[in-house]
Amino acid sequence: MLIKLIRSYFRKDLSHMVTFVLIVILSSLMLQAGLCLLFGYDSHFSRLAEEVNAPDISIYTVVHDDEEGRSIINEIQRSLDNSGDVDCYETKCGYSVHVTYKRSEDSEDSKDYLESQTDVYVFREYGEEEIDRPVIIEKIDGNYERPLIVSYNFLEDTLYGRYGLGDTLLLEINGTDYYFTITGIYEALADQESIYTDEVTIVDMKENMAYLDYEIFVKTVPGADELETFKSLRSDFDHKNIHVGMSRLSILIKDSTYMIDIISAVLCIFAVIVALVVAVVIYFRLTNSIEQNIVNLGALKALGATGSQIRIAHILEFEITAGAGFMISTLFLYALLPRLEELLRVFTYSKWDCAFNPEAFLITGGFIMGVTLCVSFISTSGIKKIDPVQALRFGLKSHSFRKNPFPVETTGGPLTGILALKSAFGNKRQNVLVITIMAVVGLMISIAIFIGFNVGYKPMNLYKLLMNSSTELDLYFAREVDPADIMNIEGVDMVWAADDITIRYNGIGVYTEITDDWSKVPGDHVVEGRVPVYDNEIAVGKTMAENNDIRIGDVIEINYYDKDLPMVVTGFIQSTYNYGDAAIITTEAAGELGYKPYTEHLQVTVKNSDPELTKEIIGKLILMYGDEIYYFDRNELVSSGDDEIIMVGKIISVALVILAAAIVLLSMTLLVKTIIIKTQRELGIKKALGFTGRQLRTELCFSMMPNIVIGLVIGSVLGIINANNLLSAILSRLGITRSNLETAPWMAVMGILGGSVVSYVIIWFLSRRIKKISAYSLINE
Amino acid sequence: MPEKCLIRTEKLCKSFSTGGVQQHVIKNLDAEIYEGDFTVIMGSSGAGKTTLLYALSGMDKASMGKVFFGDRNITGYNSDQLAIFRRKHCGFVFQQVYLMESMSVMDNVLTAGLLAGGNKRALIKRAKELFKQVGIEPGLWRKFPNQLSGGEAQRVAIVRAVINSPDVVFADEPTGALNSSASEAVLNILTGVNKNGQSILMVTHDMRSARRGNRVIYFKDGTICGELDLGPYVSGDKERHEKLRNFLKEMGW
Repeated sequence: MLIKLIRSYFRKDLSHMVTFVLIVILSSLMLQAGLCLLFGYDSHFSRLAEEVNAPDISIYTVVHDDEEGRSIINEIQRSLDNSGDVDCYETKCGYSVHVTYKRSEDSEDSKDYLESQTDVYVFREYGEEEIDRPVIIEKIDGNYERPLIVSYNFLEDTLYGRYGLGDTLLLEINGTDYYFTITGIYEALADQESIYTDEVTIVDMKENMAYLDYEIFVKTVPGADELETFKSLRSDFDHKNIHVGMSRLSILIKDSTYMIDIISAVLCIFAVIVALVVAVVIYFRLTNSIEQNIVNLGALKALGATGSQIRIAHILEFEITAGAGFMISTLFLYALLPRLEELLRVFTYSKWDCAFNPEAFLITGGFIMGVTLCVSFISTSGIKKIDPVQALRFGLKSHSFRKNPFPVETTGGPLTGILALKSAFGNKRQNVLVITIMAVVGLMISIAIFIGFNVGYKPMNLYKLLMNSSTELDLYFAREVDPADIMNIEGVDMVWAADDITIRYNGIGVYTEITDDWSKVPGDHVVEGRVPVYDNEIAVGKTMAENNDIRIGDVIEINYYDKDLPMVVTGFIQSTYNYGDAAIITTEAAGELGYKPYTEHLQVTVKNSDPELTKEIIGKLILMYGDEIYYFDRNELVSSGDDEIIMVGKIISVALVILAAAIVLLSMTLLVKTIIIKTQRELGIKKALGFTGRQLRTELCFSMMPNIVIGLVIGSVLGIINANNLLSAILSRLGITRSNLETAPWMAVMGILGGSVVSYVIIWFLSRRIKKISAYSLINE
Repeated sequence: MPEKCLIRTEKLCKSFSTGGVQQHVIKNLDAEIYEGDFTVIMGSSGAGKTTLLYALSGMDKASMGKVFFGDRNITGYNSDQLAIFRRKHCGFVFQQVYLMESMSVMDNVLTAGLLAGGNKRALIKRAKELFKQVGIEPGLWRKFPNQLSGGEAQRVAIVRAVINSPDVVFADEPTGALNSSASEAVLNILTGVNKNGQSILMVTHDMRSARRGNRVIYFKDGTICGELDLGPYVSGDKERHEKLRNFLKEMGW
């Protein structure tokens, strides 16, 4: 009996179930993808950490190849030997070589920082490291002169993704051009910047060596606290005035996974939003199905079927469909995942095997099936109450208190408009569902417009937020220059000298930006309080403040090597550097810490952030300073598409628009189909009376539009009001606490207009089946 | 004075395909329906009466042949043109009533009137007059169809059919689902409508309904096999009843 019922429901609801399954696929695909990335990369990096025997703490330093250099290394090793928390360590030595990256042999004259970039590359011979041993994951066979084995990090960050396996790289070292071939790609966790090469090349590099690059990888004793050991060693080095860079394993993994976390969060958030649509769709379909089939249900009950049997058949119909949709989405996911993984490698610098993730599978399956079960259970509660006699009389009750909205007798306007209004306000349940779905759509469209505007049209907005920067142009001079000379150039808005150091608070490195007068630097520098003005003042990252219970007005102890300084916290900043462990101080405060800021680096803001004006300014600067200047045009970087975060933002924006369109299409398909089926008798009567197909289609469109517009208004307004809050929540892991990207009422208006037009077109298109309805056949059904 | 032809068919054919088998329901029919007549179509079940009614009213399209409404050949009209034709020239009364459930009684009637381009104020006035004529009390005007009895609903359907004073009212077994007293009331209204000058074309297999017509057409196997001129209806005319019974007997009913 149950199986027969389920089969009959499937036969009857086939076209609706196809639409339902597509929405389920959309929702479960996003949710499982989000969870799969989250769990998959987490376990991937845990596995990688084991495979490469990743260090708990990494120490980096560059020294001259002399007695003093060796004594520094000895001192570091002595500290490690004396620490009770250190189990073992390994020292790796590489050759730091000044290289000039050249895109072509004739690119020497370029002043573009990215075109002809002088950098320090660390060459090492591939050996038998015990800790953080690099794993070669891709290689080409054959003998190549000057082979290079590099990491994904090196390919993406240092070479801007312009080179791959097998490519030849032209580098100028000590005035000589060297051609290298990238023959392999390795993975490691602590050291992803070294270049591994052969013995012959190493000999050449040794000759051109500027410094020795030391990396000391430390394994702590079992049970030791990574953070405490880190702080203790850092404090020891500071007191010995040893300048080293340090990192922890958890931070190394966070560096590789922060973007995955953001993408996962976006996917999961929108999957849950789509699941809301799934729930609405189930409720709408089931309640309508019960209403339409009241006579059949009455007949079934009269024949002896229990309410529970009928109810279970309906629930199973949706559960089976949801299960099928979930399985299809799983197949899609694992077919798409390798391609996605390739795209994500620009953030992870690591090749993930995209293995099946049972946790993501079970959670997604449980969520989708659970939502379907709960909603279908609630939606079918009416079946229990069906009285067979009443049902066989079309569910008529002896008393009806229905209202007649917009009576034709008293409502003005054209007939189609009056009938559309009657229909629009005649079904409260349908109205609530349409409004809910369209609110979701409005929310997504407005957020897509918000992201699209701030990423696609004005990408500098997002870039500045993420880079904590308000500049369009960075200038690097070979000598100190007067910023006033640059201020005089037409189009320049503001110029200031900028530098940064890493100070320490409570043993933790705090990325600290320095300038003379923060009040003159454009942009919102503090999210709470005020910028530091005096030499004993500091504004710290809000995330750092929250983690360390720092409040505005507190006096905190700041260390810079052997110098300790109490400083008053004047405000909180937001910064993505160090995941929010950041601060700003004045040049005078830096002086108090014993640091003299570098003034050859100037930052420039250009009026209206105009890219063309920026180029004109660059031209004038080159004429003024010739060989003494290098520039970094952030506008060009952003517009070139080389910046991964901008690229991801653009992808998310486009994906949101596609997703919103898919939701509108799928939900409207289901709504319109259901409405047509539900009202086909009335449509037939209207056709018999002389309504044309066009009139009825227009009536349907107009009847749905009020609720669609109401839903879109609610969703779009909420979307625009909360867009920055949502972005702040998504980016909070990076240290963003108050996103301040541009929002404007026109974004909501565009969302409403765009959503309305698209909805109208979709409904008009879907309602074409009304044309096929014959008055005669319906009357004779 | 010769009767003016309202609807005329030329070699009208209508066939249906069921499971690959063609069923010819109307076969090369040449027929004429006259203006002002109360024409009754009778015949056994499956004879094609309803199919003929809907083919003549432009509700359904002919498979072959032509249907003329006045001078206009409506056979070539597309579905929208037919809809516009119906709203202007035809009124319909169905066996199952087919009022629009989502609309009140008054809205059902006004919708049909407004659709034909009527003036709302004039339509409301006429609807109220018609409601009074058919015995629909003001208390029912704002009720929904499911709150009416079968007889009340059918009377509302008749008001809806005549609200825009169509050239012809097509009635498909209007008393088929009603008890005898309700049927009598409905037939009285249709007779009254006819007396006001409107043509009526009614399909029925009920003798009491059929005797209301002044012309009875007997339809069998997709064609007209006989017709009877009963003359104007007079209540209690026993001779008329006999005449009809004999005709039907002759037709093999």
